[in-house]
Amino acid sequence: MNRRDALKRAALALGGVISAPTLSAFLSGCATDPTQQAAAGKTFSTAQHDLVAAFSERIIPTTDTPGAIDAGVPDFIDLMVGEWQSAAYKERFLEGLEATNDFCEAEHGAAFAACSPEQQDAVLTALAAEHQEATGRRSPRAWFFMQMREMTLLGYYTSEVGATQELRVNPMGQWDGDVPFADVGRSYAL
Amino acid sequence: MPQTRTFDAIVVGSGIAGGYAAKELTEKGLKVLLLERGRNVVHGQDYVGEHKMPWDFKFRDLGDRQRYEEEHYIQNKCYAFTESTEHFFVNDKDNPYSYPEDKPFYWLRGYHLGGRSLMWGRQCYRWSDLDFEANAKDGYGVDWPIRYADIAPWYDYVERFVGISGQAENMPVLPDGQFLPPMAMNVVERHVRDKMKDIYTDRVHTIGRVAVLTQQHNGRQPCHYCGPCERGCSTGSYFSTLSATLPAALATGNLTVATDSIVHSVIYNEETDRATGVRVVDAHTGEMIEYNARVIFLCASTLGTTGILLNSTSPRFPDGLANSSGALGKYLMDHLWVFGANGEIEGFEDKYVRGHRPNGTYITRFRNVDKQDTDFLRGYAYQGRATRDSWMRSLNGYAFGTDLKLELRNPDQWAMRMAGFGEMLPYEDNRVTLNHDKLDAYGLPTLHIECSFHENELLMMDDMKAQAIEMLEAVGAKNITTMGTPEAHPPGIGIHEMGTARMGRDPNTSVLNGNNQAWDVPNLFVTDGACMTSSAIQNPSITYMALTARACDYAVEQMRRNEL
Repeated sequence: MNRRDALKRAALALGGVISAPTLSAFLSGCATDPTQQAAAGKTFSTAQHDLVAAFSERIIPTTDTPGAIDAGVPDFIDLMVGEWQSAAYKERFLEGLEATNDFCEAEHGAAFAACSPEQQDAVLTALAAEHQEATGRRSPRAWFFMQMREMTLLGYYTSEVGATQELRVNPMGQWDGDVPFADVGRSYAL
Repeated sequence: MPQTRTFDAIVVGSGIAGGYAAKELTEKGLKVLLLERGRNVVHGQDYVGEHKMPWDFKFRDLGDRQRYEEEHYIQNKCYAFTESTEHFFVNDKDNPYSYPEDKPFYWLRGYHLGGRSLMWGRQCYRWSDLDFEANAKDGYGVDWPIRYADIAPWYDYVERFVGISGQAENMPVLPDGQFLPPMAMNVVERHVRDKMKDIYTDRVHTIGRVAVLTQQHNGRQPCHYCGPCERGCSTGSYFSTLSATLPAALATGNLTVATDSIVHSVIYNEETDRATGVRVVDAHTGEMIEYNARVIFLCASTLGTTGILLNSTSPRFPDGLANSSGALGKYLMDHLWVFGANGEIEGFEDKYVRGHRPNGTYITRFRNVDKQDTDFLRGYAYQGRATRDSWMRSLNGYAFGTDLKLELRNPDQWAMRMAGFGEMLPYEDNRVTLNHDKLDAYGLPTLHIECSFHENELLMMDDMKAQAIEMLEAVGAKNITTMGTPEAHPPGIGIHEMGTARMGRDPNTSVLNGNNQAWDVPNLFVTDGACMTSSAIQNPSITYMALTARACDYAVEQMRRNEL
């Protein structure tokens, strides 16, 4: 598999689910302050952006290398949801986002972004299990977890930070088909 | 638009065949007009995707999905179509064609100077007499008017100019050529090759034969292994019209290039029984212009060329120029593509690669070679490579956090891919016709393409998967999965469409003779994929180039004798 095949496969994975649920009561009833909207990305309100940022950072956290936020993943997801995906996808995504927040409020008494990393991880673990064990139609929040996970990986490892600081870029200039992995040390992002 | 309207020769289409025709004819002293329906592309300067990283693109090279659904719903099916190459593919909305709902045909194409020679797969394999004799042996299609001995010197001739890296293997089914040093197999491909050598005597696993330079060649630089050739190569390391044949043709001083020039039809003079020129629509003004020449080469791609001929009607040829046989438009073929398997190879976890080799490996044909040994006719070969997947392997998992991040620092297990290219038989009912009820933006009738796999192809697809599994198991692969379904990989997806103006021995059943010359119109030549009498299993471009050079030589010789 080469770079373009890989990205095409990723695109396919992201395009898999379409549905047209109605907007949740939360969305229709809760207008966002326009100045806050401008402060965040183009698609998400500040609160939505904060959840997406915190969520993506738990999927790819900061370690000895930068995590999802420092790699610009939240803005990438904002772009994908707002301009790449369909309107139906965006609706479902925002529904799942709010359902995740509701779940977090119920379990931990706070919005996702305001929870501790440990509480956030517990939410991710619960949603992953829910997705894995689901029968019939998956819940919006379980679906949201998988979409966030895919877009975070895609956004992170195709970013300059993810591809050069965390992983490596396979260099041009020569071809050698038999190199000790130890000489490279990390997987090539591309 | 050129001021001159009269030339010695007109070449229609600037892709791999048209570029070659322009080079040959100008080098032989003819004043040539090269017509291209699409825009101009400047070598180097217009390769805007070259060497860019995913983060340089708005959608990380995934492209604008919403726009693609509107404008590139067919082209988007091509493996090479991405954000970094989209400008080399047509806008499907502006370039309509049709197919029956139950018989999809994906017509993948680019309208610009250089045509698909800019995005082609670059694999170059000679045909052998197994291929040229196939129709005569089993009766499907008409007999080829040539054999390997007729084309071998022309393979030599074009290969020396093109520059093809590869390994001689002395296999009768896949004749060796004029090779530059081969690219190296990687450590796992070598392992698979060696294992196969122990197990099989009827096939070899060899490095791909590819029109990418491994050393300086005719003023072009060797490959720098950046990877995605289809974005364009400013060092001219892969062969294209723009890197090789166009500069050679321009250097003669005999070439005139006209882009944005859509050929409407070939002008035919009933009294002299000759083509006298072409009618061209200016893509910007819509103005109709006529150019004249003593000889016409149609190299507008298989379906483009046949569309022009079908649209060139006259009292003598009411069903299309040079179509007294009625064969024009029929016997459309593509290759069966991607049917095969993928399997993991253990034991090389400490090994990796450096650089992007723009080439895979090849497993030679072994089915129905010396005798008929399957329930289907003809055969197939595999192209593949061994790779280690990276972070993409985790897209469908559940893990997250520091552990996932650390795990993805290691590449995946090595995997060996074997993706088949199989032969499609020529069928009369696989055909292209003109739809006069639906015109394009220039008032030209659109193409209606009706092409489907028949029983022989469906049987072959199953065997392509089964034999790939068997080979992978034999070399010790684990977790083997198969690739390809007839629904997901219909005709067209192989991008080797050919036939519809076939060569033959009999003017009653074929459009062209053994020199790619129209039986009915002696100064009209077709040397692109339309000329093909059968499809064989080889990536066809090098054969188009050899046939083109051979036909140019013949045409100029005939002109000198005043026999055209």
